[in-house]
Amino acid sequence: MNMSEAASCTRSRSAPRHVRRFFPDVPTVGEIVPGYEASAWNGLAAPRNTPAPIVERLNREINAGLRSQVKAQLANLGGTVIAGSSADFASSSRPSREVGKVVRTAGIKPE
Amino acid sequence: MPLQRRKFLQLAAGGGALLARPCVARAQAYPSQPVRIIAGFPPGGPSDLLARLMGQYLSERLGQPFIVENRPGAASNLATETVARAPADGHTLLVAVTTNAINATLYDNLKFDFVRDIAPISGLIRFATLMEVNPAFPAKTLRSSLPMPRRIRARSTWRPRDPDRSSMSAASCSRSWRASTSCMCRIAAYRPRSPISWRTRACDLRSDPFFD
Repeated sequence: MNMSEAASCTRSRSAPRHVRRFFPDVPTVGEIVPGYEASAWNGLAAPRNTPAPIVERLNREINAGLRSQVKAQLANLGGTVIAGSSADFASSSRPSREVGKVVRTAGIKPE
Repeated sequence: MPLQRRKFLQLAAGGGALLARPCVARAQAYPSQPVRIIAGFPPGGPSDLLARLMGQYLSERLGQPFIVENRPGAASNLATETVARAPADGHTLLVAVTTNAINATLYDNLKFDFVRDIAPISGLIRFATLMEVNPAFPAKTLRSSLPMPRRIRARSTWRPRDPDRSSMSAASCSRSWRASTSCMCRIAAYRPRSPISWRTRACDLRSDPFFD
């Protein structure tokens, strides 16, 4: 979806503030429903016990790509690049594991 | 004979060194064959595109093809299970997405444990989730729409565009919504992912907010 398409819709963002640059005039849901924050992330992972040198090599190459030519390509997809170590990725993905608990506690059943 | 014995000793020493540092040897040889990047959703979406972009980059850098293989189904659990059971040699990778982390706490019957069986390599990108309505929708801001579901409850449905990924964002937003307004919203998954966006703009779904 590009910006002109986006402009044709009335939108409210349910996203963290750091992505505000994409829709600067659209408020986040968190500004209206306090405490709300949700976003989707993507990364690469491997089976457990993949040798550390291979994980480190892939991490190094991916991060080099995220700093150079791939950065602009990914930005065109409308997201924010999240480079870093494999440990960074593990910790940034942790809060999403709470969503399942929230859905269960609230008894929400998507159809 | 002394020459042969010396050669043997050299080879033995070399072998010993290799055995002592197997991980280094494997990393230097990596990748020794094409690498599969398993994606738990169909081709064409943003997660698929970014896997292909990064796959192309890694192919050029590491000298072996990095091929995206789409294995949609079961909220990305099929793809994750495939990777969890694959040899841990770096030749099978997973496009890890928010859904994986959510599923880890949502399902009791998975044959794998995402946190235990999948090793993170690197984050790639973070996407915003957008709530959208057709311009004909009566409310123009989220705040002004807060009282609305009570009035139009019978025909208002929250529609996550991508049931595998956005539905839980919609679910948690719907919960916040309910807490703030005492209004209940029904969530309906809608496939496939692109037509809902077109249909919302084409006034087909003018009463329904949806998540993109």
